[in-house]
Amino acid sequence: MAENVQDIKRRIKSVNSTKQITHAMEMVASAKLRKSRELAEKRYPYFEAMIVSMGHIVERTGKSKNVFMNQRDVKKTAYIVITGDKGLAGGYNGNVCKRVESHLKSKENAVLYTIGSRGRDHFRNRDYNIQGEYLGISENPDFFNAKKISAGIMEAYENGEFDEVYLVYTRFLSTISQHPYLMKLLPLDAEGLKPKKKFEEAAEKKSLTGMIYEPDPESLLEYLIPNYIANTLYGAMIESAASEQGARRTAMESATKNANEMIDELTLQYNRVRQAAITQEISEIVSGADALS
Amino acid sequence: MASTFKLKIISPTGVFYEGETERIVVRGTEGEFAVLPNHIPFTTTLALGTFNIIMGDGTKKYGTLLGGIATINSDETIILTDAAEWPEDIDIERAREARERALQRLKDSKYDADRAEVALQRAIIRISTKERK
Repeated sequence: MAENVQDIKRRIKSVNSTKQITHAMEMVASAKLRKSRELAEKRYPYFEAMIVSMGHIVERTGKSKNVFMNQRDVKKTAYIVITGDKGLAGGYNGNVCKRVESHLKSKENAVLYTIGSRGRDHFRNRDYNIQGEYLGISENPDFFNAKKISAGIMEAYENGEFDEVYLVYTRFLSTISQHPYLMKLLPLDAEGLKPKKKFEEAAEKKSLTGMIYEPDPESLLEYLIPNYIANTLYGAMIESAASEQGARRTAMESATKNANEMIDELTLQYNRVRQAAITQEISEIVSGADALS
Repeated sequence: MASTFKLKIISPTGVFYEGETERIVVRGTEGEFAVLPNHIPFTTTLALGTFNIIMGDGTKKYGTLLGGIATINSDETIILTDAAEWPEDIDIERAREARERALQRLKDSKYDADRAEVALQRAIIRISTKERK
């Protein structure tokens, strides 16, 4: 036999230690996943309430003069790409990058903002125009960071550096299923913000039309829009973080499973080789004894 | 017992306060105002400042409310804020450091004066809330 007992033993040991690592990573990913989901739940009430007030104001003001709500001719497009800082998460990082590339019309007219080093490396190697890169924040998203990033992007948008902004992140569907997702962030779609259900209850309608806005609806929008953008980004960051952990967990789970299968196979092989060696030794002894007698 | 209204204070990191409330005084960008039950429908932006609240059970409390928007309906008031804190949540050391840093940055033209100004205001409000007896 080609392999001897020692070699197989060594391989079993090495696969076993890899298994321990992947198993530990799986555990860590599960714990982090739980944390990300808690964050997502905490963010929800604010976002919900904000959408409602924005919807009301947009309904009241009709067409807003706000720069973030008006469509303009698209010459340049910005993408905010959210990936992780670490690999070993299955197709998590790659899928997001692929989604961006499939949507891009031309390399020259695209400006990228990358959150997470994986996405940055991917696009830097392919000579894309990366305007901003944010590292070390994708695992623990916080609102402050989201606000800083979105403020920079909104300023650039206002200055006409690009004419639309897309947000690309990974949607968290379940612990085992995540999908790359692309959404338009700017300009805002005023129609989409209007409350879905019409106000049928007279009381609600009355309270809405009687609403006093101070200083005026436009200035309220000026406050709400940056917060809406920051919060959407924050939500996307949280969801991406959860997806990353979910993807890593699944990847590590299958890695652990594969390692187990490999160990089983190797153990079987090890026993066979050992058995063969013993059988051979016995027959050698027997034939030796035969020769003596 | 005095009449009450529903109040919700929500920040991006979670629901800060939710419950029946007798009165809340907050600082809007157009000046301080109080909300009592059956207030007229009213929406306004909030300045950086403090709030005083009398809860449904009569407890009086105060805290910081750093910017936001308040939507008041006759039976329910929702305050969306960038940050809200009770005095016990304020990290006084951090606030003092932030004040020093902001003061330094105001002197240095390298930094954005507006942002330093806002940071200074936040720090001052936090410190004064913490030290209020």
